[in-house]
Amino acid sequence: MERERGGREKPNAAALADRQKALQQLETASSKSEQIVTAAVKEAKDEKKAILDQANRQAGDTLARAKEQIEAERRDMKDSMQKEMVEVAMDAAGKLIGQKSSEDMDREAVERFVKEAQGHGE
Amino acid sequence: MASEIADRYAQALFELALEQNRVREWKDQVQAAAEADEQNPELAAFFYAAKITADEKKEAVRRIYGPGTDKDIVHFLELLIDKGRMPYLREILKEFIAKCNDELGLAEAVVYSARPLQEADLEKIRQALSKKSGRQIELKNRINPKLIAGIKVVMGGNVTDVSMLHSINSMKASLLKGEHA
Repeated sequence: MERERGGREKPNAAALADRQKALQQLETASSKSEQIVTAAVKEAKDEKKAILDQANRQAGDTLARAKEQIEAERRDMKDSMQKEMVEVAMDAAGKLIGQKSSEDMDREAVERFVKEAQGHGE
Repeated sequence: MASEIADRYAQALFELALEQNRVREWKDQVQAAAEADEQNPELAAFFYAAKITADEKKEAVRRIYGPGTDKDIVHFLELLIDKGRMPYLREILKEFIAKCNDELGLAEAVVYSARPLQEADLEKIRQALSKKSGRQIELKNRINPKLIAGIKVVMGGNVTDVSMLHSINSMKASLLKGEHA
């Protein structure tokens, strides 16, 4: 190392170059780390969005299925009630007619049969 | 449609009846035998049972059918036992009756009703069916209280149902289909 007048050492050019290089490396590392952090944040955001989207989709599907199931059950219940009502009403009608049924009703049926048979024969 | 075996045996018995000019008589006798067979499933089980010997079956045939049936028909039934054709009995008898009916210009019909019909009503049905089919009708009245009222007439494959049960079932079906408000 050269010595300045008065005994102070002159900065060595090599040392300066090292320092400069170190500074550049630091700057590069800093920039890279910033990129990495940015990418990681973006990835995390994307993943969060994907998870939320999937959760929303699943919730939507579940809700739609539940609605369909409720609607089907409602329909079945309505049909079954309607069927039962018709069965009960018709059975009651049958019993009522049965109590009042008479030979006259049979005779009417015979007349209807004869008429129909003649109609077909013509 | 009768099987070939049933048709063959029925045809043989029918030709014998024709030869002896006893179609009407044999038809009635065979009809009585067929009805007995239909009404007594245990009788059919006896005749179809493999463990009962042919002699035991023939003895039963003679005892059951012997008194009121022509001996040739009894012999025919014994022949069916010897040939192991008793499982076809019902079909053979049915086919024989059909052949006799064709020969005699007859047709069988059944009218179901909730209670016995008056003879005058049966006669009206008989005449209507006769006019329609061009045959003389042998009409039976069978009782089915489930019909509630009215009649159901079955002839061959044709069914005419003018019973209350049928009306109620039709109404029930259309209500369930939503055809009525």
